[in-house]
Amino acid sequence: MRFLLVDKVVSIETGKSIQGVKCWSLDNEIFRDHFPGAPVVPGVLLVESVAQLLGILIEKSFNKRFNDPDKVFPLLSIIQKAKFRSIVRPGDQCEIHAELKSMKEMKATGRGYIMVDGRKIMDVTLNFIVPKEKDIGYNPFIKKREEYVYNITKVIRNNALITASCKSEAKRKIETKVLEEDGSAAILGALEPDKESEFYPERSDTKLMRNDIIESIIGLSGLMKELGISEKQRESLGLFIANGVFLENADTFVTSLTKAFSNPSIENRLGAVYKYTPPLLALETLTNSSMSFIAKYLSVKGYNITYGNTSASGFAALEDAIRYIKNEKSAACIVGASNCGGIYSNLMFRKFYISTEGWHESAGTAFFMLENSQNQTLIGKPKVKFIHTSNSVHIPSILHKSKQRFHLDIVKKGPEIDHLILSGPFTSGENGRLVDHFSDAGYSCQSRFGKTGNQGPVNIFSGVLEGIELLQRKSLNRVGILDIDPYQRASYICIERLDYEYR
Amino acid sequence: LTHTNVPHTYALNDWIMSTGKAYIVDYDVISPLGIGKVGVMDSLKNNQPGEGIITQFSTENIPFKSSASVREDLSAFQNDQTTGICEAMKHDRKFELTVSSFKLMEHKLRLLCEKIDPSRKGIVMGVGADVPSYALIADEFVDIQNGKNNPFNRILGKPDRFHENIARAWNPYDIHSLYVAEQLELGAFQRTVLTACTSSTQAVIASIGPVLSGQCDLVVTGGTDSVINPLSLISFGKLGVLPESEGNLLKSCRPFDVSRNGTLAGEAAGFAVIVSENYLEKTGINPICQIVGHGNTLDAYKITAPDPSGQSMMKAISQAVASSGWSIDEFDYIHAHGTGTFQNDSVELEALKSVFDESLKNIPISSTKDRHGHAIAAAGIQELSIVLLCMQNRFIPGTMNLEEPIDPDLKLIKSNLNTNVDKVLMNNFAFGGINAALALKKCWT
Repeated sequence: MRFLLVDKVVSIETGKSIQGVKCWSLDNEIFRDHFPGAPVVPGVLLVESVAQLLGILIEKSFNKRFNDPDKVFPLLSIIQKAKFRSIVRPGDQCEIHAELKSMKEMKATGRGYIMVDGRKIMDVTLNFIVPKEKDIGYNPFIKKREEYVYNITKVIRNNALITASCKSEAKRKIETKVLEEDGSAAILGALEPDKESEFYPERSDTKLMRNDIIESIIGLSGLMKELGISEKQRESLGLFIANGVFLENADTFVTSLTKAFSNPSIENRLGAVYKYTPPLLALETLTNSSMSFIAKYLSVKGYNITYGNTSASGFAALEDAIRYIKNEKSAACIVGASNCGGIYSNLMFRKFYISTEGWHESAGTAFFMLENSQNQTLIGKPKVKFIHTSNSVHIPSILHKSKQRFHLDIVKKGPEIDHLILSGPFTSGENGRLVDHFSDAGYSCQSRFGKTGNQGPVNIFSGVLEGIELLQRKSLNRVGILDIDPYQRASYICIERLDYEYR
Repeated sequence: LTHTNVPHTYALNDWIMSTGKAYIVDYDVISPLGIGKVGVMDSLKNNQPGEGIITQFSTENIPFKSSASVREDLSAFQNDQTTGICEAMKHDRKFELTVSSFKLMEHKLRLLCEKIDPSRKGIVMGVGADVPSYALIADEFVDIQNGKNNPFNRILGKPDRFHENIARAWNPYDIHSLYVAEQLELGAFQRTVLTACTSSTQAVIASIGPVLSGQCDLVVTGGTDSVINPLSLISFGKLGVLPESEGNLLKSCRPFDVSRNGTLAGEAAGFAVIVSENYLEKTGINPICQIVGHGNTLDAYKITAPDPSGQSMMKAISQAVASSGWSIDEFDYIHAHGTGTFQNDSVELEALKSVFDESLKNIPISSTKDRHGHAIAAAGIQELSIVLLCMQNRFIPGTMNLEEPIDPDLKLIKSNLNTNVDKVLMNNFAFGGINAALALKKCWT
């Protein structure tokens, strides 16, 4: 018999746990002697099979844990508390479960148990020493073993899934007030929420809300009704929101200030401002009011956070939500963004980041329902899974526009993809250069430039939705979405078709 | 500074083993009670309030006369700043406080951060709303009223091409986190949390995630805010959370008192450094405290008032208590949100009662908002610093302005106590119904 005591790895979560299978068969030489006429799998071999499985987990976890490219070779050093509750006979299929308890630079501890037909056969705690390849010296068997380990490992990741989504975009471009001193008009895309909708908020509230928040509430209420989410489920539902540059209170300030200053005879200006300020102006100053409004109309009461820093906040919310879903396996959450595309943002945008030829500022909202792939009771029907998120380690200067870019790097370091979607507030020239750059590097790619206008934090969500459409329509397996913010920080997300299994 | 020469990427998938523990290794704060830990501790021990009459601008025509402001001269922290930064600080008190509190602990921050790869350290900051300076825009409005200009254009001004990312009247929200990230090369992420009074508490909660999941070794967290300007005072005053000053101008904020009628406008900024167990092992640094649990929920009730049933508040507190794994009678101190507004204080006590039950009668509860005011987005980091100071100094500050407690059965302490403070619960709740709580444990070294 060979000493390979794991037939296959069923699932592995690096750094945490691993599950494997070993089948014992009567044709194994060992049963001739253990025991003649009464074949029983030797207990030490069961311990060894747990040890081999844990070895695979340690090996896979180690390099990531210590950022060390060296190969490691875990060796069993202590067997603690091994307990055999029953025997394993030929024909039994052992399900081996093991988890890491701790891992340090030179040693590791893990715990494992074996199940046969739903019964626990044995459990054991094992200690390993973890020497590196260079410490052991050249050994041809290491290569052999490596082949074995990599051939049987099939990785099933604990994924975050999108199970539902809603979205709305500015339908028409409207010309607004003359903004520039030279008389040129800015083109904005604005949202016009459907006032007939059954989810249209109360009148007293809509006075305070921006159109994009109203649109978010209508869209999300519809989505949640469609999914039939119960009151109880809503209580623990998480809410992650990105709001971009939340400066549209400029409007209200200007209105109340203009009122206060409209009578030149008023000497007491500050008093007049106090008098003319509407009681709920502070709601516009309180940066969390959009979150509160959305929570109120959806009755969502779980973990929450509101991010706001340009379009990168969309990625921040999405990444945080994915982490939340991965850590809390039973949880579900809503993640999304809205962009108001108001006068102030537009002005900021045009003046600070790009000249006039860039994308125009536009309004929009997009929300996803995220759930864990291991969740038994999914609320929605899974559409796509997230397999990778990363962002460039790029610290923008607040004083200078940055020139250096690592956009290609970030895509190259990610998993293999079939198609790439680019978004961000580029100018048309920049857009062309970026598309050429990626095409030259061998990527099939398309840009969202010109499709909707710049929606700030909504960009990355729109990109993902476009990716989902591509996955369904074009029978692609994986799509990457690269979003670049005005500070040239790049955020990258890969999504994968549900039935696609990467080996 | 070679801030952009970092060709790495940083990916969520490269998560490594979670140790399940996040520690605070250092912190510092600029508060109306003082600059830095020593100043704040002295004021707390000597019962020296940070409250004072507003002198920064004329309050002649508005009914709000007192605030808790940072009175010390911050110009010492502002040397060797570039013109762009100085310009931004001039118009934005929040940014001035950010820069000053960064400078205050710059040396320590640099030592803690220097050996870590930029892809393994990040920043999450809680930031308050941007309110334009009244002085800056008042004159513009006189012009507008004479029909001279478009208000938006004049207020914004033509940006100087040199100061690319800095506005005049309003700054982008992320200049605070970007400023610090640039100085310390915090490359993994630069995030800004905008949830009003819970901003910096949620910033702490949001920085635990990356540390626990092994995504980062170190996260700088913190917050900054100032509501001591005419337009903010007007906004909060109109909401009814600031008492109109009559007669006796001081002692206006009385948390947990039956006669409470509003909070005290404040300002503050501070930072705390949250690290993983792995980091402690490698560096051998002794942590100050471990963040053992947190709770974070939404009321989904009203935009202008907390849910009077306190259900979600209770849920946040019990999440923090449950995730700490301690029994309810183990807590040594509860640092309450205690704003001194009519609604918050009673609902908060009810929520605490329903979580802690009978044990609550033995746990000292106090709020320090009567001393340093409500710093809105910086309330969390300011109060976290005070809790850490209490742990290190074996000290519990009393609620100074409390005379007649709402609930005489509870241990709502009025005067300071000298006792061991090992396990603390800290609450922060935001307008609009966002509830956050932290459970902290002192690390004995």
